[in-house]
Amino acid sequence: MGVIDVLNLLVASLLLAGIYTTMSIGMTIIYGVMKIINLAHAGFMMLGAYFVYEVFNRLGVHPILGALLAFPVFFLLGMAVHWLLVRWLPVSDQPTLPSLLLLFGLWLVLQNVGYAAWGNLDRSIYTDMTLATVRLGPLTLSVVQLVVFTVAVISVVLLQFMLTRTWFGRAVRALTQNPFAGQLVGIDTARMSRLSFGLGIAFAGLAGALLASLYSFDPDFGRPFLLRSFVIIVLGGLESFTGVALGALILALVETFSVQFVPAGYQMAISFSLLVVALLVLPGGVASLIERRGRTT
Amino acid sequence: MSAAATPVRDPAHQVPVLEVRGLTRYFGGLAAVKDVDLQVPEGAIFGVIGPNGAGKTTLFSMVTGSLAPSAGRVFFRGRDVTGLKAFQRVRLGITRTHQIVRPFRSLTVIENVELATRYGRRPPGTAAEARRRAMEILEFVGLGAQAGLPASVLPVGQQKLLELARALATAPDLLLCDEICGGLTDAETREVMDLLRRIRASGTTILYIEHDMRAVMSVCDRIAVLNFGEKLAEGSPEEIQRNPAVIEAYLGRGAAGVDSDA
Amino acid sequence: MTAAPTGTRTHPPRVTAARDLAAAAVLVAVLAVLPWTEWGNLRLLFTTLIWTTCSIAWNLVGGYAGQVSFGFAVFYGIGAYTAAVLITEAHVNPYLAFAGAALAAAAASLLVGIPTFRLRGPYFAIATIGINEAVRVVMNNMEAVGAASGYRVNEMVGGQRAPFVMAEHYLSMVVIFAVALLVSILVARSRFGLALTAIRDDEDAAADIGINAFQHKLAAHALAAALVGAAGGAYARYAAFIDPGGVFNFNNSVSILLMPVIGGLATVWGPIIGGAVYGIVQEELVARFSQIHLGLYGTLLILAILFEPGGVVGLMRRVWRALTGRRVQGGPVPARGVKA
Repeated sequence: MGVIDVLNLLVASLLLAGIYTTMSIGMTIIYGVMKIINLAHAGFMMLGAYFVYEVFNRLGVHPILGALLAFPVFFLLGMAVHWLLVRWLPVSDQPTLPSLLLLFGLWLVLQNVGYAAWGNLDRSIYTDMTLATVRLGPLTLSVVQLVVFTVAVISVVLLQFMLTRTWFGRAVRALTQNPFAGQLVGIDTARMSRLSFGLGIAFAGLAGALLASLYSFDPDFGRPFLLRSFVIIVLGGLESFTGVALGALILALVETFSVQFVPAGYQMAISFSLLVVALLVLPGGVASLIERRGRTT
Repeated sequence: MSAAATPVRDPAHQVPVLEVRGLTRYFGGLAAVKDVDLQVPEGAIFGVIGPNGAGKTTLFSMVTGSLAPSAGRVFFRGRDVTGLKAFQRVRLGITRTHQIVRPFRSLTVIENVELATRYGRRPPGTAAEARRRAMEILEFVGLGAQAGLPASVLPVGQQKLLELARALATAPDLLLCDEICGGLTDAETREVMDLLRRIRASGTTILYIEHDMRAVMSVCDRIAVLNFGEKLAEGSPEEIQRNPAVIEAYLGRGAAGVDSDA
Repeated sequence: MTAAPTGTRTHPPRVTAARDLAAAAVLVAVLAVLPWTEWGNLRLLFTTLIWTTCSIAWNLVGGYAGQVSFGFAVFYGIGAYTAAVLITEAHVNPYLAFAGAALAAAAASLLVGIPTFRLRGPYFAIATIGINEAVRVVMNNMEAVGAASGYRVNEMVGGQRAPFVMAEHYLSMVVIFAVALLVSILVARSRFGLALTAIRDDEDAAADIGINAFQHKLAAHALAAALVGAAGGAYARYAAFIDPGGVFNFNNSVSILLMPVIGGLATVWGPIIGGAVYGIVQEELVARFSQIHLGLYGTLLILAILFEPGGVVGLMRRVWRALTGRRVQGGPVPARGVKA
């Protein structure tokens, strides 16, 4: 591998990390506020992909614009699902058996909806962008990847802004750090969980919609990405928003570079090994490293 | 509990049951407990008081092993137990009750206690023996009639007693009671104080966190005061009541009306 | 102080266990004599027993200990492959091969459990989804056992291919099922089972009475994996052909967790009822409407969680209580507050 190759791989990892962050951050929001592992995340990502596909094919809406549209649509969808199903779950400071099973059941139903509505054929979205590239010095970059990366980064930056600057964001962070803090300072936890669930699903929809421009998809589309999200949030430390970005970058680097040495069929095994290694050496995620440094100073 | 072995009190036996040295715990950048030293002598009822967020429960969690200290060491009868996990310390004789009751809700009252006898310091040989001992302990705390009920249906006062029964069932040498009187009526509080004295009389040393000042003053031989994670004072109940720094930090703020602790 | 717990209103544990053991003995006896009668479709019963065994096993970890696994197909598959290879390559007696399958699956369970059970939080559940996919992919690429195209099981007896005797396959599965049932009954009322329940209710409080939660979860997981592995082994010998897409399929993991939830978590008979219901549904419905099976299972899960967390057993208890007008004191485990 020459320097240029390494540089190309680094850039590819970075681009991948962007979309991985968007895809995983929704799980972190929901876990942080509600201590629920959203197993239906993959289902909503899949729906996000088909949403873009439909508005592109039927209404001629550009897929990137479609992805932006998906965000509010999935926000409302998420709140509806919360109202219909999730709010009945027992409140707990750790994931409960019913919450895991309920959302898992929802994932199965969503998958079935996907098969019923679109069959099991692979779909993909082609636009002028799909095969276009730009040259940046010695690097060749795919336009669609750059655009997706840009949207992903903007979404995460906006989220970060909201978390630090708005009342809602501060409440989210307070609940994430201490589920009982909410009651103490008078946060309406029911409303908070509805909004956070909506927000988490909105990010799932956005991520799925963006991924639809990069990969082909079918109703089982989200599953490998769900696994990646798991690896990322575990690497990140489950509750840390900055940890997610770092986790995404680590996974993207490992995936991108490992393809050079390991057959593509083993990709999933690589991700999973990373998960196990992370659990063994860094049980608190990368966030714990940051915290630990803060503690000694 | 009358059947329990009478403690061997050797006056020359100077090793405290519990000793903590320089115990410190940070959360993020904040010190919840900072450089606390304590020596709890054999057979004492040792009180730990302090305003909300003073670090009392954090201190407890480090003594029982459910929380690792950032610095400092914990010694039990002279043995360094800092590296041991909570379940290992139980088997040496350190047990706690929780401020917010935590019964095993799917089990019955007696199953809660029975399980504790079977995993505690002196596991009985047979299931029947475990059940008999569990029943004895339930009678001792006054829950004999509730033995067959699901733990989840008990009112709060009885759940507090169940906490105590379950802890006793592990045959502790050192019992840590975390605000066991919170939410109890005056009559119930007096009953619990009486229980604590009887537990001590059977040879168990007690480390006791409490908000209810009257309870602490009436039952404790010695009291340590925590404030902002640091030990502010230590002495007999009378000394503590006279200590101006304590009055300033603790009593002066009218903390008596608040009953939760971070 | 009373010498005996006369004040208790529930059955003492030994009575319950004895009643369960008696019922189990009758069930196993009936199953065992079926091949000599004209009743029963042995093939359907064989598959149902496999599912039910897996269901009982899952309940040990997911029901009692409250540790939700989405990856039991891994143990099923490892058991199947281990038995297949032992029988075909090493000409091991099939029953020894099943034992080998159980051991291999139990060993594999440690690899998932050791990194995840040590930690608090949902790490175990997360890891199990990952490992299912990872192992399937690895097996899809493992040339030594035929990779994605599968592995043919060849059982030789005295230099000849062993004849296929359905009744024998069936009876071997009855034995494995009986072991699973016995384990389940013993665990339910033992110190071990109570400790698992305590861990599920409150892991910190369990540690505070001296329970080593990590070790207990690991043991329950290994026990469950061994049972599932043995069932996988019996399947491999029966089917004479296995492939990663079949035995390691994620849908198997889904089915395995579905049965105890439908039947009734943390009960002895719930997983068996769930297994029987599933076996029949699978045979009667899914064979005909395969495109809706995911949605059907998903809906069942959602309905069970929202309306009857106690599953069929919980429903039966509720109906019984309504009919008799009696409040059962030591009633079913309220799965609503169950921690994962």
